[in-house]
Amino acid sequence: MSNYHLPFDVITNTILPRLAVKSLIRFTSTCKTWKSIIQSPQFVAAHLNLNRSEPKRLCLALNLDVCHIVDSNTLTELTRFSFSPSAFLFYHCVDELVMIWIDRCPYPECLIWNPSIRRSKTIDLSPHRKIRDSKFDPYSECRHILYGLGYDELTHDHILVMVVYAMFDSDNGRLAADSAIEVNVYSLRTGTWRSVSSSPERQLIGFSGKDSVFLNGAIHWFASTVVTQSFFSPRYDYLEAILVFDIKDECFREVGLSESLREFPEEYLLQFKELEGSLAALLHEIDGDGSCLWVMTEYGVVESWTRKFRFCSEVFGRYHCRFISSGMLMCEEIESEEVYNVFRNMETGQLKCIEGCKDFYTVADFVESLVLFDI
Amino acid sequence: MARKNRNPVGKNVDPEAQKKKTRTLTLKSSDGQEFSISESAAVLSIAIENMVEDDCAGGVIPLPLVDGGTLARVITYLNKHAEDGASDEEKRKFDEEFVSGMEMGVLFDVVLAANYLDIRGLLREVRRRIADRMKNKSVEWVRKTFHIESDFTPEEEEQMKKEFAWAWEGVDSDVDD
Repeated sequence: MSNYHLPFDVITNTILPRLAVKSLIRFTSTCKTWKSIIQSPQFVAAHLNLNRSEPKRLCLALNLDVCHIVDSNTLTELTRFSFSPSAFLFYHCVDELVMIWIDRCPYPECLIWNPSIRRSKTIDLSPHRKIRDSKFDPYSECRHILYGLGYDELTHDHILVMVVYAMFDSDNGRLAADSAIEVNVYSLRTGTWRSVSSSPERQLIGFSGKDSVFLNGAIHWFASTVVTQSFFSPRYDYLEAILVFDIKDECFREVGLSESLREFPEEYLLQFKELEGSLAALLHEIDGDGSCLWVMTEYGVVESWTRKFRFCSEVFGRYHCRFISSGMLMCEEIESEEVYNVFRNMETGQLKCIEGCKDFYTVADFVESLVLFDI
Repeated sequence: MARKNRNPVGKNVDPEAQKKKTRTLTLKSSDGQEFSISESAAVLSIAIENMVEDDCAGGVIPLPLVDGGTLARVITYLNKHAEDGASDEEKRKFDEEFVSGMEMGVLFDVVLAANYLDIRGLLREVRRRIADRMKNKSVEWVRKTFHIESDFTPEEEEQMKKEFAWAWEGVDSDVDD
């Protein structure tokens, strides 16, 4: 390299946003100016938007103590690192962040984790404490809480939404028809909660403990109108509709399901995700051993729900199959009494393993970002 | 997602497009070299297209920010992308080979030219190539290449390295470009 001077704005606007997260973290130690650019909210947002606009290429494969980052198309492992929150629940909400719930007494702990920078932020659950003093006690047995994560395009901030439904009818353990609803939103950047006055028009109860989908500026949950409280977790009725919370206008909406989808009981829903800009759900067949991938090909048009693929379930454990955007479905195989994970190409049926890692808890699409690096 | 077909379907060949193919423009580099190029290739650069549309081109278009060597490379790129019958696959392969042999200094020249001339495809390709080349470079290499002097104390540097030690793993030794 000879004497070469690139203008400063070409470096910051053209070169740096294209770099991988690992390189950018290292290059923060180049000089103070580079550090402040790379850690600025504007740069973090520009870098994220650029990566989001590229075709999806990466996925996360998690087992209980290791996180693998994998090339989705070739299924080769790019990197791995240890990762150790014990007894956690993982939710896929947006491609750049992971929401993790850790079971602690008396209240669970919620972490928002960015695997790209291997850093997480613990969410302050203080509204829970605040609400405890009022008529809402989200941890009382007669409450139902729903969470979802989304992104505010205007403020370049991630938003955690908490919907608290009160109360269950103490006679039959069902969520009462006149149940009050409280909605709180948390800003990842400022670390503060505030309450929102809107609530769903009719009593749609989103499925907690399942993935939510962030699409078109809104958070989506599958929902029922009836929830019964059982000892461990809530029990839902049939899939009724998709409950939508719009981040921009902070209002609830609904996306309809086709008649055939409304025949499915909640436990047949294996996965809910965004697929090439559409809502997609993996459902176990009601009267068969297979699973089907349903896609709403035109957003908001009930008639556009289409059954895309059908898979025979013989080869995989029903509750452990998840698919990623490259069209690969994670499933289980058994060999000499050992269970291991393989990927099945949904179109060709071809099976493939990730070399050297065969045991996952879950797999999810993943986009590299510097989110949380600026906080 | 559906990609819109930008080529209008029709039996008649657009006479304006035909004219652009036969019309040639002359581009003049900062060091005075002149290059002939068909108008249809030249207008893949949004900046040149604007100059042609505003009719401020005259006979020769001066490009005072691009030297002859770089302009020759850019013209090779534009000609390929304006070529009749070149398939997307062929263009993709060409793009890959086009940037693969370039040294860092040449990549920087081309990125500046593509930026100035507003050639989106070329800019995307060169940026990707630069990012690939920088991926495993050391901080010292970056400082040398971009002429930056560190204003951190050794303690501050050590602290950053400690906090994200994994980001310093697998870094190239600094012998090459």
